[in-house]
Amino acid sequence: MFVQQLVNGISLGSMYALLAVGFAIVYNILGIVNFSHGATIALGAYCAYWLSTYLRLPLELSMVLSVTIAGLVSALIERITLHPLRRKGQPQIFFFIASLTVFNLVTAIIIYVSKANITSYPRTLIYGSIRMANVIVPKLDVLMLGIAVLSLLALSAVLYKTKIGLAIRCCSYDSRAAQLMGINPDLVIGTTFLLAGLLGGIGGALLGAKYAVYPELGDMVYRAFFACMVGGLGSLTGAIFGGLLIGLIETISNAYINAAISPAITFGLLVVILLVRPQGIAGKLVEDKI
Amino acid sequence: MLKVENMHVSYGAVKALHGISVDVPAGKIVALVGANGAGKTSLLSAISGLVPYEGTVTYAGEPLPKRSHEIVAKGLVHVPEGRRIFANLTVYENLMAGAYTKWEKNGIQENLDRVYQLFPRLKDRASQYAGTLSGGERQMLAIGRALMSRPRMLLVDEPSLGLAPLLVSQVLDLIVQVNQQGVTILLVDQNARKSLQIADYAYVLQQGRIVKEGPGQELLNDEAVQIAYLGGRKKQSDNGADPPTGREDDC
Ligand SMILES: Nc1ncnc2c1ncn2[C@@H]1O[C@H](COP(=O)(O)OP(=O)(O)OP(=O)(O)O)[C@@H](O)[C@H]1O
Ligand SMILES: [Mg+2]
Repeated sequence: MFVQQLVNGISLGSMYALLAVGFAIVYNILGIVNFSHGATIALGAYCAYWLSTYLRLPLELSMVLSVTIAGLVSALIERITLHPLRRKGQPQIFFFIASLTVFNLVTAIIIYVSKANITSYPRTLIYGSIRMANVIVPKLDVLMLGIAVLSLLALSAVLYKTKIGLAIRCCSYDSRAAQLMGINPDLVIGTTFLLAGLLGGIGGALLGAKYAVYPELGDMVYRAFFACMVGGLGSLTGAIFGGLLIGLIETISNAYINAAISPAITFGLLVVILLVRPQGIAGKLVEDKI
Repeated sequence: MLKVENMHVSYGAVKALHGISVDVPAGKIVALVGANGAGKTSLLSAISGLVPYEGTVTYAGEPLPKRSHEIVAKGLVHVPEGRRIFANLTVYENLMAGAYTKWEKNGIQENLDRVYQLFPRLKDRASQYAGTLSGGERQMLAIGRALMSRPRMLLVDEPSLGLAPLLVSQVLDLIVQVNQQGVTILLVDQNARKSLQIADYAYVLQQGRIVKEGPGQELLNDEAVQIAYLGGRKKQSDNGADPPTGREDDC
């Protein structure tokens, strides 16, 4: 039983890890907590829903398209809201307000369009469970974990093996010095938002498959934020740890204590962790920013 | 090669440059000397697009673009004060970052070989994090990184700052070596004597204005310059570690 919960928790945590990493790469490059990330999460689920329900596209294809849309929307949000602020050299608090506003606006639009209904995809993404000894694990959980691992590997390949990845890491450390290398900051920031949006979209689309498609799915961004805080803001490894930890605490308190107060337990525990280690779990262990 | 005309720079209410003009002929080393706060860094930062300015800058006969990355693409590269190496990257990755505008496979290897030849130390340290380098090694990396883009001209700000006296001389000799490979240089260094010695031409900057200019040798023998910048008591160079370059608020 416990092993089963453990696997569930890791699978859910891997989704949070994806969202948290998307949150962290933007934090690294602009130094802002980017709540517009929540919009890409919600869009990841809703676009897949709309495409598969109204255009009757296959669910898998809808998800791929919806992840792409989430990525593009993320880059677009940066371009039309944050870019002008950056150009004018506005203080960081404006960025924060702008990203929160965009998040609320997108959520409001989704609520309006979907009439605030809780829905689900026209069919299940994947049926059945895998059974090993007495452990029963839904195939969907395995799929989610697999996709999360692959996505993170792909991200790290981009960051560590490509030219734009190098530029992102330079900009995250010292954007002015990066410009002196001939790196165009607009391109790098746009790409970072695109990557973050793709991660948010993947998380949103799959969480929509696991739970349901509902307008407040975007609120998962707060879990991403907390995962980053607990892991140590700015550390990608920390974000992954933080995401897994939240997934585990949530699943286990859900199973053994009470589903209704599980969020309270989760966030309470995280606050305790932060009180003990304000720099986050990986704050010291992982010093690299990217 | 580079012509700055009537440049004004201000930081809010603080005016750092009051309309200065500087001419750097192709293939030469031109030095800027001046006390702390005279505006040397401001001039270099304005040229490389980090700081807005009024006035005109012509480079290779054309107006210089205003954005840093476009300026680098033109072959004009700034080696900033404090080195600003990427401590989170390895030495090799720092050099690759320098090659950003010259990303062709063969070209990169060729440039890398040239830089390693100039700074064999960097080759030994290639896979080490740049944050673990010594001050002198960081400076080599900062210059090497700039050379990876095969620049036609370098703006070099305080390359010998914080280095031991023996290294000060070595770093400036390296600048001469780079210049002999055909790179035009605009140099600012705290070691005024040595930089005037290697400069073909020099400007003396005082509170944002040019108060004197002439061939390096001539300024070396100039009495006013001697008293103000080459005085008997040598300017104290602090040998402390580099201040850590943190993230910048803007991008
Ligand atoms: N970012 C800034 N904001 C406000 N004032 C600045 C800024 N940068 C430089 N200044 C001011 O502009 C003037 C010129 O500074 P600058 O750094 O160009 O001098 P410098 O000649 O390079 O000095 P040093 O030899 O100490 O490096 C100084 O009075 C300085 O206080
Ligand atoms: Mg200076």
